[in-house]
Amino acid sequence: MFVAFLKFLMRWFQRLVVLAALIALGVWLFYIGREHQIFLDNKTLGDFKALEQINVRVNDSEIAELMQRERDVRKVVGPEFEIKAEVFNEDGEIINRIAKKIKINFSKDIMINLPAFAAGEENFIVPAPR
Amino acid sequence: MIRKLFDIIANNAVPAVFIIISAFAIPLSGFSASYLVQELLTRIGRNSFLILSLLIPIMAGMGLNFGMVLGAMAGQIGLLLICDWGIVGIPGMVLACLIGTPIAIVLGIFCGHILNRAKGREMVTSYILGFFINGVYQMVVLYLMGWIIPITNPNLLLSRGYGVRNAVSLSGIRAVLDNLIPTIITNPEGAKQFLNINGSGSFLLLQLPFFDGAIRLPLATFIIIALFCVFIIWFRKTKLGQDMRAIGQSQSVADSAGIPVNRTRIIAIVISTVLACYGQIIYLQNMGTLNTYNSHDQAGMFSIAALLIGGASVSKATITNVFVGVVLFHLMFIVAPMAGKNLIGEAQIGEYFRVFVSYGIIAIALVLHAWKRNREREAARRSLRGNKGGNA
Amino acid sequence: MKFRFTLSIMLALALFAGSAMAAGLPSVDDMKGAVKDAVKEGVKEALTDAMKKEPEKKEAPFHIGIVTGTVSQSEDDLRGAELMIKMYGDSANGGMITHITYPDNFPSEQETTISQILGLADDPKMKVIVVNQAVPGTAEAFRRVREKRSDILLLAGEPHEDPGVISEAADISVHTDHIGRGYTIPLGAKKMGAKTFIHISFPRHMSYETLGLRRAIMEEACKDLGIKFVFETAPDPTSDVGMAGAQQYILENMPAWIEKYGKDAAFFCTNDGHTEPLLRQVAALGGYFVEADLPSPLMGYPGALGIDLSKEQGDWPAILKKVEKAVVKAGGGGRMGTWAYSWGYTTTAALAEYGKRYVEGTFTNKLGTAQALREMRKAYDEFCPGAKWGASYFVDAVSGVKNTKFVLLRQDTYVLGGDYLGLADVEIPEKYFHIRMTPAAK
Repeated sequence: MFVAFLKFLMRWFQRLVVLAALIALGVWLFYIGREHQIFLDNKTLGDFKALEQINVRVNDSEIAELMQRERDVRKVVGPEFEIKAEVFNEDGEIINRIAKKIKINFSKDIMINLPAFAAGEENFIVPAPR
Repeated sequence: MIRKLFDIIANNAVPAVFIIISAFAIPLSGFSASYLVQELLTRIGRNSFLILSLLIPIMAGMGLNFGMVLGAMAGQIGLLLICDWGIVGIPGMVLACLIGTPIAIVLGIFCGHILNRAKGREMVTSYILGFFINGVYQMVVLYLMGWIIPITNPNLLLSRGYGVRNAVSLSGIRAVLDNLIPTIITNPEGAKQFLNINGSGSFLLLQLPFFDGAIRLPLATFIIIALFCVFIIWFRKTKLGQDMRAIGQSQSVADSAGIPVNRTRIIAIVISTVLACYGQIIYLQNMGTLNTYNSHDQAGMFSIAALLIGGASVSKATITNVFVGVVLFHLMFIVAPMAGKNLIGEAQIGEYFRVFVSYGIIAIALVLHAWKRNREREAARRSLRGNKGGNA
Repeated sequence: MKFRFTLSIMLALALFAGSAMAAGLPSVDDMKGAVKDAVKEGVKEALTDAMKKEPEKKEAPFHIGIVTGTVSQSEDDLRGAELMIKMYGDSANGGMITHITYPDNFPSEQETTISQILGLADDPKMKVIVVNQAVPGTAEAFRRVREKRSDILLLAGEPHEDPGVISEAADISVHTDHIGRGYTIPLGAKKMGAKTFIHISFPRHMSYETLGLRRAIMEEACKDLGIKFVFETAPDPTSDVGMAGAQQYILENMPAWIEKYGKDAAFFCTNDGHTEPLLRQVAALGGYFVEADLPSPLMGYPGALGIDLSKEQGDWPAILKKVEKAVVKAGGGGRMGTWAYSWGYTTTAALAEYGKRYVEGTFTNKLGTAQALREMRKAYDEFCPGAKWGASYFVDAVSGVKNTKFVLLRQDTYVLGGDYLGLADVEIPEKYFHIRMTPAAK
């Protein structure tokens, strides 16, 4: 009797383990497969003034050239991406170069405020538009 | 001798009719060989999985499973969810399969229970069941999605805020399985041309010296189909497979042998439904667009038609039938419109001609099947009588 | 046994005949005779062509492929293709045009649509493909054509897929100006004297971004113009009630609607099939009708009022005059309008003409420029002497980005028994470009 009950328990335990593994697989696929929109915003945020011109490259995408007050978007698959930016002044010379790896985790779209980002500020991610 | 020849032709009457009509239609249509081969390879990759999912219920004596459309709907719900969440690429496709599986299992169990109460009339019952579940699916997708089932992507929803749009672009998972191992078959000349158009990038190149034109081969899809065929062959040899075959031969004998008939039949339908779910996802990743309310309509009809045309019957179907059927059926679909147009000279007559020939041929296929079954019964009766000779 | 066999074959043949009749061909005897002759001719021709070498004919330098619906789906589009064949010759006889059709049941037979369009790309001389109307599946078909042949110009007329989706695949898509007309149609109704505006449609159409957005704009415009907006549902002809059931519904419900909303109500429907019964009832019972969804003098009027236009085929001013006479006679003068020239017919012809000029290098500017827009309007004006067209590029309501691969066109509305309403020159107020189809996310 006891043996039969143990067998029954073992079977249900195995099934639970398999189910948990499948759900974990699902969550992992969700995490690595999600496509995010990265909005690049060259607008004044508080003390950080809009930059004259900033060229941004997200992973291997096309370079986005943003003048003052312009906004562009790039698509990225997966939880983290690399962003490389070059800041120009009015004469077209590069005055700053930044490269950073950013993690998105479970949110869908994010918007990066470029003046804050270029200045090395910690909180450069702002809510994405809808 | 003549009788033997007649027998061979009669037993394969349906594929024979198709081959003869195709032989006329192909030169009439004016398509090049490389175009036909490319289209056929694409369609084999796209449709074979769906047709293979029909084999197991036939093995279990449940006839042609029109209820595979239930699995197709389950797969589509999975796809709608991953589109909403924005999951792309192979992870998107696998996640859609993962989400579709429990839905397909539930629908399969439901279908199996109903079919158990309609023994001997499984085909018609599953056909009507398909319509019923279609209604339930439309209610889920048109009313519950966006309302109770949270859908946030505005590209998916209708203007009123709930309900999914008619056409959903599957650009995130478009051709992901097909292009997983990109393969081109061409001659050395075509290889240079292809590289010019599509630049660099890794792909397999199979070079045949005499081949005209470049053909893309969805290798990963074919590998999955091959694995599935191996699975079917292996499954036939397992205890469960043997049980199903026994039930297919005779339910009463299987029952007295101690096989749980009802439970095994339900398992057969569940397996078929789940596989149809995966098959529909493979089909849609090749199509690239999901017609939310219509894509699953012809899933059952066309797969069953292709299987019948490959020479299968309601009680017996092999893997050869599947592939012969998919080639012949889709060949007809590809060449008939153009052949009709070139024959009669007006474009829209070509369309009517295609509908006419394709569906008419399905009608002939069923008639010839009935004829063949009658002949087999006659032959069996004759052999029992001791073959007194002569005509029926 | 033999009897049963013969019986089954005869039943199968009867099935053929039955399905042929259901497909809308003329009587079985006519059909049998016509098909027999055609088949005899065709087989003779096909065999002789196959047997001997190609005779020296004057071959066109390149081919233009045109894909339209059949006459049972959308007749005007097909007639436009026939016009081009008359002008430039059928490619089977050395001319330029290859004309094929997409399935009547296109929502369920996407595979066939895609493979039909792809089949055109198999012709090495093909340089332009025009699909009017661009049913679902066209974007995917265009993507595959592009993969095979990057040198073919892909033009989509009246796409059923969202602008974002079709613009990724087609070089240019043209659509009736759903944004402008969302304002001008209620405006036209008000000018004609209506106090209520009734929009008749069904879920499948309201799920199309273009049609759904237009409805939202109409609602807003009615509010601004001071007329009442009402939405009424009618069955979808591609659903199980079929075209007959959908038309019957309109016929039966019109008296109730007139009673409820009064004789100064204007009616608008999104489906071509609904238009005919609607027109008949408006002429008989009252109410206004500004224009159809895809307007044309042939849209609904001939069937609704029993007008025989076989002699005037292709001569649009004559067609318009005859339709006008019939409308006035039926008592609908001054209450019913249309475009003087058919949208579907003109689109097929204009897109093919535009494609031909592009390949021949008549205008050397890139696509997507102001000049290209002018060339498109010129192509349209060419087939519509006397009518005025307005053209603009589509602006996405959410992002504000101008989409230079999506062109919007509209023609001035002509009131039968009256005059042009002057709607082509109306300036659309800015606010209507920012109205969105979907409500802001929660």
